Amino acid sequence: MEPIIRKENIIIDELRIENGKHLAVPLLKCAAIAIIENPFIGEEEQDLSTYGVLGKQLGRLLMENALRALRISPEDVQSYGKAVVTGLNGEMEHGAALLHQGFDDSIREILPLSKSIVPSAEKVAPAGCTIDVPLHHYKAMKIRSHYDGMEVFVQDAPRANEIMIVLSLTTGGRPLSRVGGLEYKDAIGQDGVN
Amino acid sequence: MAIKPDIRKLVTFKEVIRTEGGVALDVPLIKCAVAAVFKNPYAGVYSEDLSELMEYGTYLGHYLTDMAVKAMGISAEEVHSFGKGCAVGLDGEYEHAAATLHPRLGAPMRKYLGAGKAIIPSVKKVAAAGCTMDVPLLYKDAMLIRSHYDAITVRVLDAPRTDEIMAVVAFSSGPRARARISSLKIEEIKTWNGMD
Repeated sequence: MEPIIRKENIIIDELRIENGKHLAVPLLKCAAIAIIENPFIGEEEQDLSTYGVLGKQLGRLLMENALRALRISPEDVQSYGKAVVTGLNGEMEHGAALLHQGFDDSIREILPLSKSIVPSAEKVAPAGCTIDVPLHHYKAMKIRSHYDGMEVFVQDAPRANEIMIVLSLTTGGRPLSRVGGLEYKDAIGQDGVN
Repeated sequence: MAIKPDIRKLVTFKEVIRTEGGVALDVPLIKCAVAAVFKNPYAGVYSEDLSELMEYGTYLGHYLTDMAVKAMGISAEEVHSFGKGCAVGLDGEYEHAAATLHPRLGAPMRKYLGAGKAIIPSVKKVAAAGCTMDVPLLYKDAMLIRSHYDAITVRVLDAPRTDEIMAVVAFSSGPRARARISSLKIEEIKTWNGMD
């Protein structure tokens, strides 16, 4: 079983200045996207619990695409998030079957210290929709400086019979973050929360 | 040395197309656009002289082309098509886009590709942040290569702000996916005048 991929997209956002202030290090955000045929359309199969192998393959592909595009090593990643948009002939659960089974296994193989849940967003929508990918730190969810998001869109996707899957990675928290809370240096990074 | 814009952000859009109409491509088609967002030095003030933006063009033409071709992961010689675009924030003028794009930005693009007889197709607008921009693409050496009439759509949510300009360059690695309307072919280019 392999996903049928129509195209792979990359969006990289390199932020150098926020509110007129130069950042010490530019903030990189990347979204790696795959547009695939919805494998569940027309299937009699109502049990979607066995599709982890597809999710795992997609997770690996998008992790590798994102890291290559950012030209960074896994140690340089700070935040992550994921999203899925199912085209209009599909159902919400189709996207979820790909995003929530096996997908994270591939992320954690490449980011072995990742403990926090991978924040996600799901919807059923027409081509050209925007999707806001939620982001937070991969070690501990409560690191407040890293609560973030990245909006992405692909003009011609997802078509009605397609699914668009997104993985986002960043090299830092929000630019000029200053609202307190748990800081990265104080995070324990064992339970995914603190 | 050209005056450089103080770039607030750079956004890269890349797509690798593997199938079209359900039919796999022999070679995946790579399309890429890079957008630079920077302060418009003439926002809110009328200036007869727009030379600072022209200087920016010299810098951006090379810098953005280099970023895009590297992101595509191909050599400069393998680039087939090019295009450019500019969106000016609402405190600026349409002519500011022209000053950014037309006098200077193209030459370093052509130089980088080691080619480029054709005009670099372009689009410009004054718009609010989050506007979409359809950047046109043409084959770099002959405008009549119909198989390469193409475009790439970009959008940056928070740009251009009212006092900013967003300049975009775009490239592709080949003709439209599964192009099949009659067209002059690359190997049939004769006059090398940029047209055919």
